[in-house]
Amino acid sequence: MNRYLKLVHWEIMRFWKLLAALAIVTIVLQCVGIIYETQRYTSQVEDQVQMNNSTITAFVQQNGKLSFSEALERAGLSFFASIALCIGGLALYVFFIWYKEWFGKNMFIYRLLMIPTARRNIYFAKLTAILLFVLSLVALQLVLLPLENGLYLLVGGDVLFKSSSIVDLIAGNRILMFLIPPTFADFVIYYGFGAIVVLIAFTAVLLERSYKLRGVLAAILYLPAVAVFMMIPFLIPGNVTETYLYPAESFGIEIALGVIVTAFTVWLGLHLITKKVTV
Amino acid sequence: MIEVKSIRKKYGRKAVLKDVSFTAEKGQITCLIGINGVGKSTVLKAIMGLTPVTDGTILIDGKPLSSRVYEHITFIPDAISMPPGMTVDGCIQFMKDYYVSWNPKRAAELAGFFKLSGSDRVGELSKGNAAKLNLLLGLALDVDYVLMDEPFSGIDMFSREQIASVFTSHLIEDRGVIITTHEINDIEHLIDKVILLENGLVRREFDTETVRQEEGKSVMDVMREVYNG
Repeated sequence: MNRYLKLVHWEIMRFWKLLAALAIVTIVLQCVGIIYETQRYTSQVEDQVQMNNSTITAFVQQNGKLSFSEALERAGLSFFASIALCIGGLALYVFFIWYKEWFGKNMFIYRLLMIPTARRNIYFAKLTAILLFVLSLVALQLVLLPLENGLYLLVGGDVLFKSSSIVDLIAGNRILMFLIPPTFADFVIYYGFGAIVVLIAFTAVLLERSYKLRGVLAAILYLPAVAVFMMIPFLIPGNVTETYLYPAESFGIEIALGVIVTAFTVWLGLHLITKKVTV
Repeated sequence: MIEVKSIRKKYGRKAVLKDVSFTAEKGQITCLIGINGVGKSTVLKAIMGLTPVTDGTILIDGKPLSSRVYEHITFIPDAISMPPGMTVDGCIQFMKDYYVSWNPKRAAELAGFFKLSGSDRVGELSKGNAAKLNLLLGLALDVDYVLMDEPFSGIDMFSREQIASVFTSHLIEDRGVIITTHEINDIEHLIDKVILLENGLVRREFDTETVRQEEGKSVMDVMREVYNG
């Protein structure tokens, strides 16, 4: 097995317990959210039916059954808090994956930088690990949705509640649509943008590790510089209001700028870890 | 041979190394001596590519440092560089996984000699045992050069004796060793060459045997001469 794959394996082994904890919290919070929402809706309907001297059948005839997709919307935070927690956890780990190597008196960074392999393998192993963690949590969410759909009907019954297809679930929810993009092109755009953000964070950490306080300043300036660079199509006078460029042209330019930012950020990160980083 | 040529290093505005040059030969023990903060550890880190130098060149057997060179040279820092949650066996496995030059027979021999238990975690080891494991991880590599940063620092007398005995064994023989230490007494009789550092400069470089024979002085005598003026 080559050293890059060994390093990826190493990174996964160091994070798997935290990843498992995030997965368990996601499962528990979402299931609890669904159960709570079905109970809440049932009691709301019962109260309304009692108040109007009506029946549940009449209520359903009038209002229809509550789909799983609608239930998720109603559940709001109690359902999506777990997703926010996972995003927050992984966002912190993007920085921690580097800083943990410098922690304590037993600095593992000594050993890591002395592994007889190109240092780019350390950089790419950490990047790969982060992307794998993100995709594994997204995959978990994708597997969870139909199972939660089943739980929803099991707990609530089919008198008041009805299931939703995965496509409807994703299409009906902005957060899910962002997490699980409907088309491959959207997937490339969303996750490509996410990968650029991770690369920028890596570069920021390596700038700080190489130049200390001056590096922090450089990292703080790097972020707005990239943002301005990426907004070039929108900074062309009149482009936003008078559509000087066709949307396809703006999109094409954005992709090209994204590629340039990625290439430069990776080059800078690799230059820092190879030549500048200090233990 | 390790050649350090006119290296300079600044931390912010402070010049830690102003102009340091020396060579360390294979089969010899070279000792870098100087007071705290003089830049001894920085020199070792610079040789290993762990800190970039502002100026100067470092060659190992005539070649600049590259990732391949880590199969021929190793650095044993002053604290063990493995995660605290890892076991002794885990550390050994890690080294075996990444280094072609790892010698499992020698690792087992060293683990037996130092009486290290494979199931102990790095974070739970005593200072002495952590230093021994650190030494094991460096010396079980079949490398030409070994760099050691303060191997005797802060450990008990018995561990110190055990570690010092390694220097006279086949584990060190034929290798080039660069060592930094305050505690010169433990290994004075083993050192072949001394580099005295002060204020980021090499104050004196000498062969211990030559000084002993020609001037009748020990390393300590020369140190007193140089540092006490």
